Amino acid sequence: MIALLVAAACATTILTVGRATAAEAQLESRLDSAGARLINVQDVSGDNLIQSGTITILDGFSTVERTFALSLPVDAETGAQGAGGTRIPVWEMRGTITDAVALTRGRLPGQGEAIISATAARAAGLDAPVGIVTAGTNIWAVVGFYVARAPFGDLDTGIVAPANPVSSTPQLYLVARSSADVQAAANDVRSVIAPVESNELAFTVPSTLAELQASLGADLGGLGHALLLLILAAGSLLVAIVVFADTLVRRTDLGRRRALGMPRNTLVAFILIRTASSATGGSILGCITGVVLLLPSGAFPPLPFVLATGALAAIVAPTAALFPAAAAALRDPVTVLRTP
Amino acid sequence: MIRVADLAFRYRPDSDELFNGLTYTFQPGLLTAVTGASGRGKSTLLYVLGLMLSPSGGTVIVDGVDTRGLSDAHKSDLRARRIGFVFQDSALDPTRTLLESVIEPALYAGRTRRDAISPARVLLNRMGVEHRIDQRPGQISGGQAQRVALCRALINEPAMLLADEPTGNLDRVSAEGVISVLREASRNASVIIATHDPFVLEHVDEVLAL
Repeated sequence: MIALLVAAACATTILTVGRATAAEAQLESRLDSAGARLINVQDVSGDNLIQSGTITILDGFSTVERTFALSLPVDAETGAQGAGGTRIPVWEMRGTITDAVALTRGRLPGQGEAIISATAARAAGLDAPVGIVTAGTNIWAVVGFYVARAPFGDLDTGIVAPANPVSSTPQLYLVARSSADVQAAANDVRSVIAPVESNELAFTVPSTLAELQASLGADLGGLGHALLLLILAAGSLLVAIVVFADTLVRRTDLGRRRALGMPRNTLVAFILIRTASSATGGSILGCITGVVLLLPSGAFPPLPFVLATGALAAIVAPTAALFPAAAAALRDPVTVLRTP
Repeated sequence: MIRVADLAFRYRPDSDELFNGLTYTFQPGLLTAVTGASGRGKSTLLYVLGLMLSPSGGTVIVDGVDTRGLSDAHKSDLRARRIGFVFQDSALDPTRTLLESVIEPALYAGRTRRDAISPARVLLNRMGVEHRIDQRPGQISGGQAQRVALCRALINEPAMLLADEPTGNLDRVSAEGVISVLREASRNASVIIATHDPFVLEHVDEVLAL
């Protein structure tokens, strides 16, 4: 009976609190995605405030996961297709190119070279990373293909090349290390660029998402804790009742043991060990049942949560049995052994 | 040797006092019967001697040890090592085999199961029930169950053997067997029998009338 009670408590905990924990983890994961940590800074001053040194300094901050700056896109054409061919946007970049894109073929570009997105390459009829692209008087040799990293999906439509020293790169992109670091990272950008007028830089900061994540996390966590306490309390009460009833049913057996020389402490330990062994079996069964029932939803709680649920149940059950065990040990053996 | 001095007992504060300040020495080597009308406390005296009940007055002295104020653990240890008890209806565990029932007090006295098996078998053989050691109480007669209970009470070679109406549910032949075993046990222990059976009274050495 105790095994079933503990199994039910474990399964219920995993199906409710565990599922909420899994949902909380999924939500945190979505809210903590790169897109939720992306800061965009536009230099609207026209004074080329964002330089290579800016990127280098920002890269050293603990609040920054990665950062780079882009020029405004210009249309380019491939050498193979010429002026009548597909127009492809080109961005010149300051910073580490792999912070924005992932190389899929060829090599990373040096000055005067460029890499093209796989999507744009197909549109331009390029089967291999060869040839040239031109935009006005600028010419770049194509040396590789890439796919854009999240959250820079817009780059999947074009070409990226290292910026030459005189190019303007007024668009700064910065991914903060975590949602909690977003505001601090934005402050770091202001302190590094240090515009004369604050309106020389236009910031787009996802602060609302970070606040929302913190708020939802607190709400979900609080609900989970309250539910867990309720399940534990109800389970403990039921275990105590079952153990008490069991000691009543077995009072002749327990009385005989006392009469034959079993001390009270040993009797209490005997009852607690019986309860603990049943509870351990029940907690294993309950945890497995809870996880199996969550299979269709796919919302599995973390493994440490499942193990902790089982361990907690196996510990709480004998603790709940302590009072009825003590009551049984104090019971007068003579009363149950005397034959009327 | 077991001695009581100025012994008195009440089940409840408002109930009648039993024993009236009894002072008595139960000698080893003797079979002593405790007798009296119903309600005079024959079984109660055995439970007091067996340290399962605490007297409201006076004391019980077991082998020179005054048991007043002893802790439950100490009393339990004395019950396991120095006192053997035979209950009226044998009180065998229905879930244990006969061998396991006889071994039980030895485990409470700190002996290992391995050490207790051999003497348990010897006792069961003397009682004529060794061929049933793997059976359970539900598979044997009342007389056989009482003999197994005697084995259980003797497994730790107690200084005091207490038997509460041991022949109460037995036929004459079985009763004779039980008395014979108790007589043999009295060679090394004080044997005290609570009884109103005239057949038992004919075979004891001393009678304590309450």
